[in-house]
Amino acid sequence: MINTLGSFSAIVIVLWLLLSVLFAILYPLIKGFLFALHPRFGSALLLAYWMGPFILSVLSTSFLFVPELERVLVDAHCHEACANHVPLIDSVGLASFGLAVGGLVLLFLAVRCVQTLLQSRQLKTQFRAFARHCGAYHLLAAPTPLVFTLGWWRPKIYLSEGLSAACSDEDLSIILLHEQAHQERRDNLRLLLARLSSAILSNSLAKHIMSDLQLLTEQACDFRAAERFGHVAVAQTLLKVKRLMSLPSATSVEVCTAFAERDVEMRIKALLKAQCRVALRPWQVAALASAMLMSLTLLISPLHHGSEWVITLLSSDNVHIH
Amino acid sequence: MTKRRSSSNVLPNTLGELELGVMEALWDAPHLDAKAICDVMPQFRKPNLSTMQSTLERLYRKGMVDREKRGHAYHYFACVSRANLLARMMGEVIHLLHDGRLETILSSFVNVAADIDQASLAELEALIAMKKQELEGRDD
Repeated sequence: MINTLGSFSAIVIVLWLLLSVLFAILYPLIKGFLFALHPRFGSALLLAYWMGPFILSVLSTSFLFVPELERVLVDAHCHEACANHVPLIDSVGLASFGLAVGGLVLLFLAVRCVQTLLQSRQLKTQFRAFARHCGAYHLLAAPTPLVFTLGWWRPKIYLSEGLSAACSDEDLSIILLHEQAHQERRDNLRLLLARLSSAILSNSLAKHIMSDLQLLTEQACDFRAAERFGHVAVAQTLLKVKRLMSLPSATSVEVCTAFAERDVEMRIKALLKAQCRVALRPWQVAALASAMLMSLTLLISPLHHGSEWVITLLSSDNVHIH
Repeated sequence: MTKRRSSSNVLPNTLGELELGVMEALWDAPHLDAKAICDVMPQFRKPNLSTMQSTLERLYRKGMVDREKRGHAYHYFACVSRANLLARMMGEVIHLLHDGRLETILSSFVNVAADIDQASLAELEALIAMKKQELEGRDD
């Protein structure tokens, strides 16, 4: 049992790490394509791409451990006896090490998840105590111009009186439509899943993709608001709110220019060139899904041989045939 | 020795549900002792006296309430107003957004912490005006 669990865990972790690095390196090649799509599709595809290494590693390793699938998915080969087999580590020490590493990674993910959940609950409790429920949103009696959506599964919109007072009715409707889009799409949950899926990578490797995912997510919500009010009106509101928040008295935050981000600029430019963004057709989505499925099945054979080769290398003569 | 704040406390001025309830009670009626606060708490969150005393002690240490001794009991009053506490919390949220520590918890309409200079804002304004003109020209 420990050999099976240890081998499974070691293969998942190594594969997850390798695929994550590979996907991060290959990302610049597909970035242009993603940003040419309508942000609704761009953000969904980028999320799928970024979660790909984790999903692929878990699924392909699970398939790898079904001996019946070997006949279909793995090139015919024999070790001591010609029978269906899975790559197993025979050394208990090595298998225990694999299991321990897998357990630690799982523990780290669970701790991170619980910690974020607690923080989210805490913020919700705090703001709920101060907010007044006004239909679709909660109003905060504060002069700081701020609006945000808080929560994962049933997110709530919080709007400050400062922002409400400074905006026209149309601006306010655009802002609320944008935030409602976050609510419906459960964007905080999507970002959490993306962050957890890339937890095995260093922050420097993951941060560009994460910030692009955030940008595409915001653009998707901008475009949703633009469906009703028009792209120019949403761009104007964005600029207005950004100007409000850039006032030194508005946020009392010393903003360091080294952290200067161009997200608002990119969002406004995207809105003004909305006609250049194309939507994916159903057949294209089906083709992408088929390509994913095919790559998953094609991965099994090299993964099987690769795992056997690595296990043999680590513990010579320890590959166990079942 | 200062007790280390739990890593799950995302805001420095984080208050628990009971602490917030106590603050509410003190904002409504200042200068109450622990027993009186217990009495004014809603039934569903009414704690026992010793829980209330330790909650008040925590709030006192956090600098949220002050107290004065009257007879044998301490009488408490809030030293942070409701508006002030909310303003602090909003400031902390903005700081955390800047650090990227809330990216998976909270989505804000615009990145409040991202800097953009006035020249870029003016350039964007000009772009929007141009687009508007272009659309109006097309309509005519």
